[in-house]
Amino acid sequence: MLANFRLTMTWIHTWFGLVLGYVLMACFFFGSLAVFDREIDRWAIPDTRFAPQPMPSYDNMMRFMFEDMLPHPSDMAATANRVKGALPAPEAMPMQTLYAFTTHRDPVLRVGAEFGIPNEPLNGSDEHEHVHGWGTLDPRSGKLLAEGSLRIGSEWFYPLHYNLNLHWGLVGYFLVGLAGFIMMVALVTGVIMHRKIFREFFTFRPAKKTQRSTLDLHNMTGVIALPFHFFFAFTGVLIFAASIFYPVSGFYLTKLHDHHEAIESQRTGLPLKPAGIAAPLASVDAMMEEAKRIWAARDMAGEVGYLRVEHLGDRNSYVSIYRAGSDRVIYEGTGIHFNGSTGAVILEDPPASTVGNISSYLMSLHLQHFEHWPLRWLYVLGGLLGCVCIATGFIFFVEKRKRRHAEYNNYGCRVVDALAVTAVTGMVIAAVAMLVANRLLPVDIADKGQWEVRVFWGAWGLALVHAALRSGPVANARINPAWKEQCLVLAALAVAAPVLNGWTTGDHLIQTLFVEPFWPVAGLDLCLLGCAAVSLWAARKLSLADQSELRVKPTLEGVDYGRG
Amino acid sequence: MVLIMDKMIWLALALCAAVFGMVWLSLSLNNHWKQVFAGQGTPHQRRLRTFGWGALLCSALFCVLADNLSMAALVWIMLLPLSAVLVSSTLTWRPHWLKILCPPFMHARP
Repeated sequence: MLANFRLTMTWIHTWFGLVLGYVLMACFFFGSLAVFDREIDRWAIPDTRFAPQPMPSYDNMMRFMFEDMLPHPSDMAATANRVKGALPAPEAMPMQTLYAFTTHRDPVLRVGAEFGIPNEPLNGSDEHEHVHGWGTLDPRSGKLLAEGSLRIGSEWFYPLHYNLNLHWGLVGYFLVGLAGFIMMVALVTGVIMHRKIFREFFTFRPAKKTQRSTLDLHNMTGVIALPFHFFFAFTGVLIFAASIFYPVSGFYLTKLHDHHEAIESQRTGLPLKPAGIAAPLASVDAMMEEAKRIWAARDMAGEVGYLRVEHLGDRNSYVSIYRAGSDRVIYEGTGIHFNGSTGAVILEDPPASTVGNISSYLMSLHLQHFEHWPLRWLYVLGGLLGCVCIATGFIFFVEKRKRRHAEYNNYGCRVVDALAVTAVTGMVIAAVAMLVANRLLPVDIADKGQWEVRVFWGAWGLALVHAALRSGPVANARINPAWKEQCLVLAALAVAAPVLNGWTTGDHLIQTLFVEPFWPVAGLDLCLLGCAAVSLWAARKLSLADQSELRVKPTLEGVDYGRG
Repeated sequence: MVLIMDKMIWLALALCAAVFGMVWLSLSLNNHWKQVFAGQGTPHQRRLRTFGWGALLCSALFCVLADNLSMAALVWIMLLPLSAVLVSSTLTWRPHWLKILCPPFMHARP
């Protein structure tokens, strides 16, 4: 143990914060982007630039689309490796389950289905063998969108903030879960270390030495948005625990899980298994109307967000209809379940218990299914304040030590600084480069999304190499020129993206702001231009700071080690 | 009247109230008072703090008028960092602007 309690807290804050800060930086930045994931999707897939649509008619539209839907070739291949014998032809597989999902921000729907197969699984513990099919439905035409494009917002930035898109077991999820826990630790230890939490609540003194002004900014952004930081770390960990960490019963205690499933089915009256007797599906549109009527009667009028049909074509089929998130924080599906062949209501989900409500309030405030644009922007502000807090944490770490390290030929600062450049400017460069690639790659290229992903990781990797190669001056207690250079690259990319968007799609800012306002695209374009302006300003400040450091030759005595 | 008024107007009022609250609270701290008015320190610390917290409470009230309670709680908690950042940046770069937002009875010498 260290000499006293405060020093111990400082040690924990410094070292755990440093190691997991890099992960946290990605969580906060991509989490902030995820607030507007659907809007980024619109930017990235120009075919879907139209207003959000309610759930379309099943009887007149979705039914025909589902009749044409086939198992997805990629899941056919994956399933073929897990079962005995050859799979039947995709056309011969019966569709057993189908779903459609939308939100108040989605013009296109996600749809999918499960197809039954007669094959035995290779591994006996594999259950419910199905082949899946999926797609994105354009409700204007009733047709599926062409495949190959990546929804950059909801399929890349959004998962990046909770699993780093690291698909090696559950490593990504666990790293982020641990980082979220460390975030809470860092907040508590940070408050303990901070001596003037109220007196310096509003204080930022850019004119002071870099070390002092960085610490000012670190403290200010941390303390001012403390409730946001804490609640997002806490609810993030809660979601991780609820969805990844605790649901072991489904994986390891399968017998208990199956038994529970059977009892649950008896209680709810929703059949677990098909009866084996064919029966047609009644009007799903009528069921959706009835569900909306029931919600309105329960004083929670709303639109349909999620539709699911189980045991399709069987007498035991049932249709579950869930409400879309809108007017309240809590994402209450309040499912209404119908008998598929008669159309009669089997079950209405009861109101949640108090405990259930508290837990879903905490998770829903993080997951944001509600409709409240100002609050979304405030969340982005909170997330960016978190990024500033973490980034200034790295810079303070380096500033505090770089002269001492230069004195003793210690390379620690150089490494931390190069990684900080990668985690701050490098990360934003990767994200913006991906958007630029999205507009530059030909539309009809196969696997366009895969190429965008390669550009993303490639740009980030290059940023790391660049930051490491240019880190020499840090060993002499000076600023890494990579900071400035990457700011300039970022500014260029962030101007290129909106320009390319206007050029390739015709949706330039004059069009999206005045002629035919379309905020999802205009908003992202404006944010990119704002990002370019901030990076240019930062680059200018950095060259001024570097020049002044050159003029005043630093000495060890002159350094204020400050209050860590 | 309450029903007719648009939700956005209540939210704008909530933001204004939160900014005023943060301005007065910041001026109750001697170091920021000196930045804005020069001199020794704040003569009306008590008054500034009371009004500051009062304005933050008003802001919460406006949030409740704009949205249902569960949403209003989130909006209010997120308006605090926004208004604090606005006030903090003003104190850093344009401290004299805050003179306008501080009525004389809060800064006149007793």
